[in-house]
Amino acid sequence: MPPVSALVDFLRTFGPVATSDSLCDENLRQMQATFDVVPIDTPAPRAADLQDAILGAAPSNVVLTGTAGDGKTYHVRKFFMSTFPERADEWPGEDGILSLPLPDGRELRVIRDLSEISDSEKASELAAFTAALLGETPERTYLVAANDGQLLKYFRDAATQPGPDAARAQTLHQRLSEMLREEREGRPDLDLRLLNLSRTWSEAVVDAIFDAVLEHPDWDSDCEKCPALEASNACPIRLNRSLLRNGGAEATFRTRLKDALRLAAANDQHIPIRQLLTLVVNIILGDASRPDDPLLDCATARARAQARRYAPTNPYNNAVGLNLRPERRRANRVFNVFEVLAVGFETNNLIDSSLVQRQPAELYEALFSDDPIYGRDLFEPLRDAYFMSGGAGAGPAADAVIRDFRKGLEAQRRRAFFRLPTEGQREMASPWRLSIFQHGGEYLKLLDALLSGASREIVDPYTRQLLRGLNRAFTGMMTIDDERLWLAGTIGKTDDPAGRIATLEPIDRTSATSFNVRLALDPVGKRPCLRVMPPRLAPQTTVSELALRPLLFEYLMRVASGSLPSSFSRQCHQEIRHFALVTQTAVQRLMASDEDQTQVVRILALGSRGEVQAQPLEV
Amino acid sequence: MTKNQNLQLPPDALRVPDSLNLSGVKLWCEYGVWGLLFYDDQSPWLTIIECLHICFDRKRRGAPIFGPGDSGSSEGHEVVRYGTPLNHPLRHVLFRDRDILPIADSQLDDAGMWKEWSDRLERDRILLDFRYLKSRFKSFRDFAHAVELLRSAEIESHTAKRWTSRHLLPLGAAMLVPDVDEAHKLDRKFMRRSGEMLYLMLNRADGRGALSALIEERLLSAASPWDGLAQRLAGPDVGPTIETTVGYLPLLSHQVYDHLAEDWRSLLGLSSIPVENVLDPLERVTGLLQALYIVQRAQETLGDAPLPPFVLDLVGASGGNPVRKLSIDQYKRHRTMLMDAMSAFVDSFAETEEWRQVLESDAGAKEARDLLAERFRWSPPRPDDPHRMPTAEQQLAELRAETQASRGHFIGSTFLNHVRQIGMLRAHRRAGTWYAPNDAFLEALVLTIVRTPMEFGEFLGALYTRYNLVVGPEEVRVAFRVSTGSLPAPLADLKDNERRLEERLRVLGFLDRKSDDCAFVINPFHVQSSATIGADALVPA
Repeated sequence: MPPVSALVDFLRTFGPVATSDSLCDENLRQMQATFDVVPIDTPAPRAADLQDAILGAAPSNVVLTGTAGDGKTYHVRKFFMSTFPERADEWPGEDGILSLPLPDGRELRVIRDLSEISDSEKASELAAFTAALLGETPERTYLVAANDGQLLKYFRDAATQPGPDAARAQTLHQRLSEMLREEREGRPDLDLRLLNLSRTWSEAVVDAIFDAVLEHPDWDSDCEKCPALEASNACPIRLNRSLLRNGGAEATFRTRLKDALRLAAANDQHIPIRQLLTLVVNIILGDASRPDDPLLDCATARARAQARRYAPTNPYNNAVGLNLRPERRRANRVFNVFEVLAVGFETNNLIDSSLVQRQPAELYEALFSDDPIYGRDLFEPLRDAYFMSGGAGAGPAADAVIRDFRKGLEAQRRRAFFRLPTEGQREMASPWRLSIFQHGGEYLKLLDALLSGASREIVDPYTRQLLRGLNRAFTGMMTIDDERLWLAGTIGKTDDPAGRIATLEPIDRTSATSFNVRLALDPVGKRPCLRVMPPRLAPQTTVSELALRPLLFEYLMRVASGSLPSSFSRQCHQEIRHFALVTQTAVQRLMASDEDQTQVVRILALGSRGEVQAQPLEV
Repeated sequence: MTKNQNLQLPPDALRVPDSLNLSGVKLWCEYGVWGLLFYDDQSPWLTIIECLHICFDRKRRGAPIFGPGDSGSSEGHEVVRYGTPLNHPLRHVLFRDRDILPIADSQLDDAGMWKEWSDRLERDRILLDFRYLKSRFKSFRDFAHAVELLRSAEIESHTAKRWTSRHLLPLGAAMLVPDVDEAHKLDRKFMRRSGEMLYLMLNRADGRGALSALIEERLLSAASPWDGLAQRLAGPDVGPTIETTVGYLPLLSHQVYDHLAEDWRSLLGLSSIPVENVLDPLERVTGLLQALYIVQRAQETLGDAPLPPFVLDLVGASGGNPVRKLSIDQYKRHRTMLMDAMSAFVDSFAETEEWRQVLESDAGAKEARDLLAERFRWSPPRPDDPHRMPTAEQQLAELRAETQASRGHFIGSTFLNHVRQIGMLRAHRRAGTWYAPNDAFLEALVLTIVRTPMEFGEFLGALYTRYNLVVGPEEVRVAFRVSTGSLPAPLADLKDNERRLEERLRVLGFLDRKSDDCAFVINPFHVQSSATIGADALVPA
């Protein structure tokens, strides 16, 4: 009996299988004991903030919120263990609500999970919790974990109960709604630090989780005596692990995964920590040949290696969850990140031609020179069979050849997406061209530039492109104007998407003496946004702001370069229409005070050079 | 006692003012229950325009927008006289002319263009003096631009109405014109008092004071550039003012009146966008509340059973879609209720002491005839034999039958047309008629209801409590009084219905989902007072 890795068996419990749905902090600790492995050390990214909020110089109540699997309970436990080490054996205890003395004499009341305490406990805690949040009882501090919906429901329900607390609960409900919606951690009229674990994007956290699995100390000792280690056919588990590990040329796979996750975060598609674990486990252990048991164990892995059957263990397919039944894939939101990107289905002629025709050669080389097992070895036989059959034919056998070739081609596009360098020789060979977000790479570049406070020369080309996209979307004309923003519209609300009327002068991109437009970083959403600003001499209060999610960015960039993505244009058009209306009114209001001239409206038309021409009309 | 004072009325209704000329009314039943009148050929757009005719007229005369009405209305029902200038030249240029744009596109020089136009006017025997235009516009092309621009402010431009029944967005006094026939007579073909009903409803609402300030600020004295343009085109002589008085609305107070005023305040209060952009939602929500008034009045006339909700179908799938089936049933119930209410109105008369006396009298047939004429303005068709007059009971049966007869214009078709025109109903020849919202209707709901971010579940609750609209299982349960039994449609379908509403709102840019557990409906035009961008932000440093 060849040896079996306890680590692999342990990791399988994190996979996208039914049992992992119930993997919460408590169960996890039990599991680690059962399997006798070194615990997986997952990060608690807000632990320091939590510590500081409760024990720091300006203490406040803390509500930890986030979706299931974000580590709310884990954060509370870590805080408990480090603050009350002498009481570690009391955790978790029977009570839903703990009362603990803090060193400075305050009482700390801890609710580990708001959804797990009884209705009567909820009711009896309401008055004190409300008073604490409203800052009336500094002698008592609360630490509460609750997901956002439950938190709001708690106060909404309380607001409908008769009694003196209803109005106060209503106030809290509204303030908390605003904080959650605007993603703020505090506000002056509440004694509260709201830590939303679903809004914490950090590359360090993702790397820490990947490393916790990939660099686990038990790998070496577990695999040491395995005969597969020396065999000529690589163990798929170790192979997949090596493709994901940092360092060397292989790092692109991991980088691209992180890029995709970051883009998803900017699109408000947050991936909880537990799902990140699922992702990395599924990439290295995924196996597509047995839908009921979609993860490899050591025995299966050895069988795959001996038979050189690597198609089912393809990590690039595993990354998008193709080893899973559709309903299981949907139940694990991390795979939705890639579904949205449509990796494998989006493509262009250049990349397909280098895959199928091996032209241009340098791109073919870049794709196939290394990683032969999942590249050349998997794809060449399918392609040869396809060309042998002439790409046509009748009967089930010929259909199977075509189907296999198509699937192989999709797998190679996925592999290309995960392996192509970000900065390619040709624009069309950018990995993002293999996704819905063709400008995803540019989006991340812009985001980095804004985060690092890069100079205007780097940011300005984006501003111009976005202005051109906005002008085209507003006017319905293929204008090339990109130095000024035309807030074109119609009189009132009509179904006509193209506006040929402007009641305002165009807003110059760089004007010093009048309103101007600039790209900035929205400090709350951590996203780029396009801001209309008042003249330089006036106080620099933002006039209006258009938040640029990746989807809207993509839309505007595509419109700027001449195409219209119909699948998401409706939503994006609505968003920019709202922006235009609000901007128009705000600018008008600001200008109303300092001029009394005759009002002018402008009828817009397209000039011969593609510029917007305005025919002024006094009214 | 004059004739109007003797009409049959529901309990708590105001007396009908004597000044109201009812000579055209051949059967007083519908008007007693709902008011005189809610008209099927008057769209919700023309309803708010007619209402604003009154408001602008009061402003013109220096009278408060809302109040007890003109002299003669000191007791009970308001008497309000109002009028709107004919403005013939403007409406010719905008709605009848077909020459201006082609001439502006021609190769003629400017003087040639003006001459060509005046030649064509002469040819068509249009005897209007347009000489003022030449001094008001730099060139003929400039003038043509103005015409083209203002034509784009027409409401319901897709309908092919006569040119004297076409209207602009009501953005200023110069943009309002009366709805007349070719002889300039107010024939009430498309503006037939539904807007007067709206005015009376607002006038009797709680909070009309705050509303009148907003109407004043955002519409009456807003000095819209488009109104300025209309003034320039209209010329110095806007012609005679076409006058009339408002109709009859039975109840002094009603929940719907207050809701109307509240929603008007809510929409006109969205100061972060131009007022012309809130008129479309305003028209839709007003139409919705008037439709709600129509079914609620029916409900009140019938007794105290719960009001059947409007079930909105968002699934959109045909063929056995249970939500649509439920919605179709609800629509049928609403239509039936309207007929039943008229029947109940007659019933309540039949139970009166005076009718009992008629039945017992020897001269019952004659007395019945007189009483029915007095109470219902109704006379039985003349029998062939004048000596064989129908009995009192026969007469009443005949009257009742007539209230139930399907006629061209009646409250049922008003209800149907209005809910369809506001975008809340779809009718299909084979599939039937059911409630289904279009995008503009959904937008109107969001802009009206939502201020600060509102949880999706709360939004669904507000749709039910404010408008009797139900979408998801939770509200269906409440609206259908389901405590333990089964829902009127499968839970899974209702959940799907709710999910699709969320998706529709997301695509419209009104929804922000934060997590599996929490989504907010957002009004992008609501500006919190604390964050208001004030004019003082632009003080030079």
